[in-house]
Amino acid sequence: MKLITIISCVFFSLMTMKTAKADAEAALLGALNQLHMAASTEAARTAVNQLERIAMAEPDVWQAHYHHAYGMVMLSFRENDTRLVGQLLDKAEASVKQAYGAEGDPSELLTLQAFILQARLNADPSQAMEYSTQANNLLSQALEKRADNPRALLLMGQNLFYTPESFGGGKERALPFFEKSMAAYENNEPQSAIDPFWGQQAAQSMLEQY
Amino acid sequence: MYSILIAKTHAQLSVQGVVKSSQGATLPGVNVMLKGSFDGATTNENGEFTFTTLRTGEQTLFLSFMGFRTKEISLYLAGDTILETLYLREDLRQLDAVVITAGTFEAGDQRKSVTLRPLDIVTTPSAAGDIYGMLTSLPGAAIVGEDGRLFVRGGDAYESKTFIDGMMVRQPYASSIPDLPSRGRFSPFLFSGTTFSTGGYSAEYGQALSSALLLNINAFPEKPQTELSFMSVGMGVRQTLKNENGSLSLGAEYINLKPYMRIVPEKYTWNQYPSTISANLFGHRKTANNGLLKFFSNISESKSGLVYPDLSATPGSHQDIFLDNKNFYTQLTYMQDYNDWVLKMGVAFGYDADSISLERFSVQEDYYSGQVRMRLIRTFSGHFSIKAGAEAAFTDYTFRYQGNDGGIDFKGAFSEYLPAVYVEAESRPFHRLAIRTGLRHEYSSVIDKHVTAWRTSAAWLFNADWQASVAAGSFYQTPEEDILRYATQLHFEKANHYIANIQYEKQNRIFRAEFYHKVYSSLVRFDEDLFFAPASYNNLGEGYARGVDLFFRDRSTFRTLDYWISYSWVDARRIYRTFPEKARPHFAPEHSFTLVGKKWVHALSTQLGISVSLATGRPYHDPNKENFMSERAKGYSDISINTSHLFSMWGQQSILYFSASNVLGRDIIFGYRFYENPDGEGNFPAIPISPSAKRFFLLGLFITI
Repeated sequence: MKLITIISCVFFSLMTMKTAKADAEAALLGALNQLHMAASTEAARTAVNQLERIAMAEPDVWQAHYHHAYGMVMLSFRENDTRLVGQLLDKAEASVKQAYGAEGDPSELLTLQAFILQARLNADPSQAMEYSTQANNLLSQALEKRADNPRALLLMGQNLFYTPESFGGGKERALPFFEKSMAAYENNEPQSAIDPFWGQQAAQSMLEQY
Repeated sequence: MYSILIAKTHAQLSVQGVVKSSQGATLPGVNVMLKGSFDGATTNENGEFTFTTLRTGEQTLFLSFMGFRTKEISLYLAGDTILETLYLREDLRQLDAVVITAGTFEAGDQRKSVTLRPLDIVTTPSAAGDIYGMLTSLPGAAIVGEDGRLFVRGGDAYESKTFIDGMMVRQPYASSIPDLPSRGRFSPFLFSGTTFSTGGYSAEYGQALSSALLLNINAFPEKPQTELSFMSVGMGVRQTLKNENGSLSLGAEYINLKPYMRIVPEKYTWNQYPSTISANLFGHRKTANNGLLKFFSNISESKSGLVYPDLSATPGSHQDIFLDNKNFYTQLTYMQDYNDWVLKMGVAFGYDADSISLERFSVQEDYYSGQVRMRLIRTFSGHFSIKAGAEAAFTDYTFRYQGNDGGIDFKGAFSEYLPAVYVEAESRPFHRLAIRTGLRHEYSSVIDKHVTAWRTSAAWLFNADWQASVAAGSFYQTPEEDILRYATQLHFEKANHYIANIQYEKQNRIFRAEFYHKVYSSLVRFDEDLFFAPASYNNLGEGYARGVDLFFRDRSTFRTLDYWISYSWVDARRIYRTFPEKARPHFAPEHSFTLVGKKWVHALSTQLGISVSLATGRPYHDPNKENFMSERAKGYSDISINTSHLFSMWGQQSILYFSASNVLGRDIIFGYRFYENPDGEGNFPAIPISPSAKRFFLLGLFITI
């Protein structure tokens, strides 16, 4: 009888472990969905907190850190205070570092770093030149690693779109990037359900401006 | 028995509680979780949380909330759990460490919380492209429009010194003739970091009674480029080269006001329209072991000549004045970063020759200066650092006054060797508090005196938004050349500063209020009629300057609009130089107010700027009146505008710039000068001191290739 107890306990814990990874995936996707649908800042923060819990519980899953950082960036867009935005984005960068540590996809992580810079620019437009130059560098590297990364193409396009023409930007130069980005979104097949997937709507709305 | 065990392991427990800050405020948005699991919750608007978990036994509860230190609590879960209130402490380490700000306006890339950025300074309308003009839009620097130099908090121009990369620049201003204000010798585009200190500065800087302007050369260009500038006053060209290890930039500029002054009516007749030709070279090189070598060199020659009232002759007469200035300045600095040590060394050399010719006499001044500096900073455990330095400055000055009718021929000269040592300690015993204390010892060979100065300052961070700072110290300066050429049996001039400020910063808005009291002693006095006799010079002058400076800047209320407001109130009186009694000096207007606004219009790729400056009338002495310095000129008011348009010309990045001062066309009178001899009725006639033209326009095209 004691043996049955032990076996059933062990069996129970094995089952738990196998479903753990599936649980992490489900939890991540659930939290991301919550974030996407969040109407209020409180709801968004609740979703981002859940992403933080998942990242802390599963430190080897790079996507958990990735999505946590992404969630922080989305939170920062709701914030007006430059100092708070800076703190949120510093925290996002720390999560990106952890994602690198968990051997995350370099192309996606470089793109996310550029996204963080764009969020900084959004809060502090006086540093526009500096931030957009740095973002440009990161996105070029991201595209070198994977030329059809739809998010890198989207952000590169946005960077050019908002840079004055006389500084090498402008609507015309941005267009090919948006077109390639849309094509990449339509053709792309992510390897895992929890790989980064945001941005298709943003690419669509950029194209509608032409 | 084990059925109960299984039932328990399947049961969900609830954990609930409340989270508050250490000040007692409830905290919504806190992330509360069981370490190692996904279980957790976010606190609601009352700081309350509830979550369920399948875990039991020894667990760690983990709380995380931005701006606060994370907290871990050990729990033993055996059933539904209600926790006692949990408190989180504010984490000030996430904020920039508290910075001593008393008496300082900083614009640079090092600090995150700055009051001004370098580009802000460059785009201020009232400045017309001059660094010192730009500084008058900040509280503390008085608008003395006919002069153009820095007059800080009731102090004379010689009390403010300019440093480039830590080296003192003896002649930062281009020479000027009456009523044509001096401008800075160096273009503001050369500098990336600026600290304008209106008092209480570090023991590292001496020989400045009132203020120190610290400039850092921008020797780190982003890419190699060629820059062309075409302006209504002249043109320039610059070529920058860059590689992995360093960069080099060579520029030349030719300014000639003739075409401009022929079009815009001027008050005076010019025999020789002001013209300047200059060239500069600067660069940097990274060396082994984290070292950085920076080089800067500038050479220029200026000429001008005009017809100006001759105040020492019969009223109504005029004379021709010619001015020729040659200047050369070069410096080399080296900085090296070891683990806890930072070493900085520098050497500089300058030569300045001023030739002034009037009808009856001519004056020639030659100035050689050299400087060697060394500074060492050692940091201990991140909270405590010691700075020590030694420097030596050499000056050789020659003055020649020659009467054209073969009369007086006077030669005065002196050499000065000025060594100094200093040591300063800076400590942050808590994250909220920073303290700095230092001592500086100087010796001047020309007056043969030693002096020791003390400096101290501290800053306290109340919370994330409020900070207070204090500074005090003694500041010494050797008397100026125009005194030393006659008399050297003198002492250092002295000023004691006492400063306190409070600063509020939140949401891209910053507000500062600073109170100061300066006590001057040992100021040089001499008898105007016996200026050539050494015995008439002494250090019996003294005075005070006290006031309040207010500054407010807002970059967030209106999206693309950035504006700042500065206000100063100065109460200053002194007896020095030829003053017969204590009086408010001519460079200390009682109230000064400036409003600067800038807006970027993205659709037009254009920036628009406006500045409004107002000041109460400055004192002047009317020899027709009994009292000294009793009169006040009319108040000063100026509205200047500027605009910069970014566009692409033949595929190259270009900026079209236009600025206009005094757009309302007011008659500006800074004060009055008086003829030394009375007219027929025994009155001393006055001539108003006013700008050479009502408005100043500047049009420029800048192309980067």
